[in-house]
Amino acid sequence: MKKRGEIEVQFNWILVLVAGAVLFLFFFGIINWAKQSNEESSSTTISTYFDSILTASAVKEETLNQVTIPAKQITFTCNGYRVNNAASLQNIRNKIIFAPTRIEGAELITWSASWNVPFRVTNFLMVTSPNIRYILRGSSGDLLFEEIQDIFPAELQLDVNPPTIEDENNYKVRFLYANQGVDDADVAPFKKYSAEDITALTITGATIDESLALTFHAKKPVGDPISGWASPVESSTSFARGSLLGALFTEDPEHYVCAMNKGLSRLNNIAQLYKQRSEELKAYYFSLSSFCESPHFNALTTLDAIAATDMNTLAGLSGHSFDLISENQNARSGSCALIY
Amino acid sequence: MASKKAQIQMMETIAILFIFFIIVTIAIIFYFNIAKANTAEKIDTFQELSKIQIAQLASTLPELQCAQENIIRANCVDLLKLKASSKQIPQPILPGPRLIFSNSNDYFDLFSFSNITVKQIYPSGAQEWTIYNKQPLEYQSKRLTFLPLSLYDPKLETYSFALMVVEVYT
Amino acid sequence: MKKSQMEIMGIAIIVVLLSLAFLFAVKFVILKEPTEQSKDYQQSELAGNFINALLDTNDPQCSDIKYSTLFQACYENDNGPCSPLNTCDHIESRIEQILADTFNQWNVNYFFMVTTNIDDLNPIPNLDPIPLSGPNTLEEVCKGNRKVKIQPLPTNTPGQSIYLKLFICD
Repeated sequence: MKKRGEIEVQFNWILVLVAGAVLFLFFFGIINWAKQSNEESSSTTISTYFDSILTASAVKEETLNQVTIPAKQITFTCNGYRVNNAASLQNIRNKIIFAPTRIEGAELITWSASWNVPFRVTNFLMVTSPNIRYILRGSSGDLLFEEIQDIFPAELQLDVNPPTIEDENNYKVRFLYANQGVDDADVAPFKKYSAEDITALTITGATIDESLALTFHAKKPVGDPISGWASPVESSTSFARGSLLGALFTEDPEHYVCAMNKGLSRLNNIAQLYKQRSEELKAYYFSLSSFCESPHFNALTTLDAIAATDMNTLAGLSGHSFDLISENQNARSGSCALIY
Repeated sequence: MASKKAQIQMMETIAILFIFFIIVTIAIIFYFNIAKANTAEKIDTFQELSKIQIAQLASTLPELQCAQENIIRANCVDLLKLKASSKQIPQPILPGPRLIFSNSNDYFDLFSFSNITVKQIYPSGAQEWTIYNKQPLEYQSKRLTFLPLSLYDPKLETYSFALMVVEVYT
Repeated sequence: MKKSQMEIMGIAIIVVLLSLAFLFAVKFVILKEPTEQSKDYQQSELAGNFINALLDTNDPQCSDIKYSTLFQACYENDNGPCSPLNTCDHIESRIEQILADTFNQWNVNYFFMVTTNIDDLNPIPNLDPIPLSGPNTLEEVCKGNRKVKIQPLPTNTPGQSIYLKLFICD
């Protein structure tokens, strides 16, 4: 008797298994591809949405927005940001953003503040998270200390001179010292945190409208037997409210300097533009033999000096700014066209 | 007979699989076409938003905006700043580089491939300034938007009616 | 016989299911109307910017007085500012020129009126101080969606204002 039936059944099963495996692999491949495609699309959509928010903030002055982005993490550099560890860095184009190195969680706070030196140069954008804790130390009666409290947005967590500091499970903590040095005892509760998450900024000066000396600090690395602040990372300067706010929210001194250099580049352009404007007004008033020629003539040298400012000479902006304000007031009192 | 029955059975199975894969292929092609249409719609929306964004950015640049001691006047461009930033048509009277027009690479991040002009409508309709012009080698279309605004002359302290015309190349 | 009938029924059910899925996809994906958010925003910005820029414009033929003041002078039948020209006639001709150089040139559908009653959607001929809206009604000009900007201007008559209304239509 032939046993073809037995072999026939097995061949049938082999065919079924092969066909099933092909089907399975086929659908698995499609689903995998669709998943990757959707993730990329989602990342692009988030980036486009975030870009629109940043642009809107840059256009409007002094606006604070609380936004929710469907992202777990955004990392910032001076020139761009990355959403959820995406492969590509999104270029922030012309925007000048001051932000922590990493923002975790879906909630973001964006805040735009104009940088006036004394004329408006650009809007600086601050991006931060309500999950980051800020601790301010200073002496009451100190003008700078009071001013920093006034300009700090209410939406952010700011502890002012807390008697004791405990770990409240914030993923980042930033200490701000107004006209005083860093205190190693402040770092003690945060031994387990990495150096980039516990940072400090010392601000030395009289008032936020003038030049201030800044020093950026980071905690000693995890595992260091003596807890405290590491040696100062970098010293820098700020001038006017906008740049101080930028320094408050930026942990990385290189990021701060890079962003400030972008601002200074714009300052150069705009100062040159105001100079051309004053030259034309000077010529016009000269043709009318008007007193109004004088403030515009006097402003030209100051505008040249402002245009030549870089990070090394930022402190000198204070004096030039005062001179320009003074000439502008002269123009106003003479009912002349203003310098700025 | 038994072998023929088995052969028929196997052929039937193969035929079913063949038809099934054809149906799946049709479904995938259908899905791709819908996805393509959705992506095209998203690109279109994005380009429309981009056009509005560029117009907003151009009209709020400190290089052009009217301001008196940092009090900004909305939807207003300072004529002297405009002259210093752009190329006037016909030829400018003032020599020297024009801040935005001559440094279009610096402003590319802001304005991408677009053409931004300001035209005075009233009192005089003859004056026109090109603030920025960067055209790609090839483009499919131009998206146009215009924004009425005031043009302030600090010498005469008067306002004119002007239009900012933004053409975005896509 | 029964087995093959069952199989054919199975195929028929699959075809019916696929057809239903296809119908749903056509209805909710392909035939879905695109959102017009950017268009709404553009129209409302355009209307607002136009009126703001117009009211700030100084007219050199009327002693450099702003149009906001000229509208009020027209309502009060004050022909002093634009003397020897009639204020209302002068405003009408200038605004028609501006509208021609902006909305007409860029093929934007609009309806512009000046009225003494904020609720009026159509000008009342004997009360409309400046007959800019022409013979057509709003419904005749604006058949689709529209965005409106209404700007009130006070007058010397207590409790009386005049309203500039600009509708931008699809």
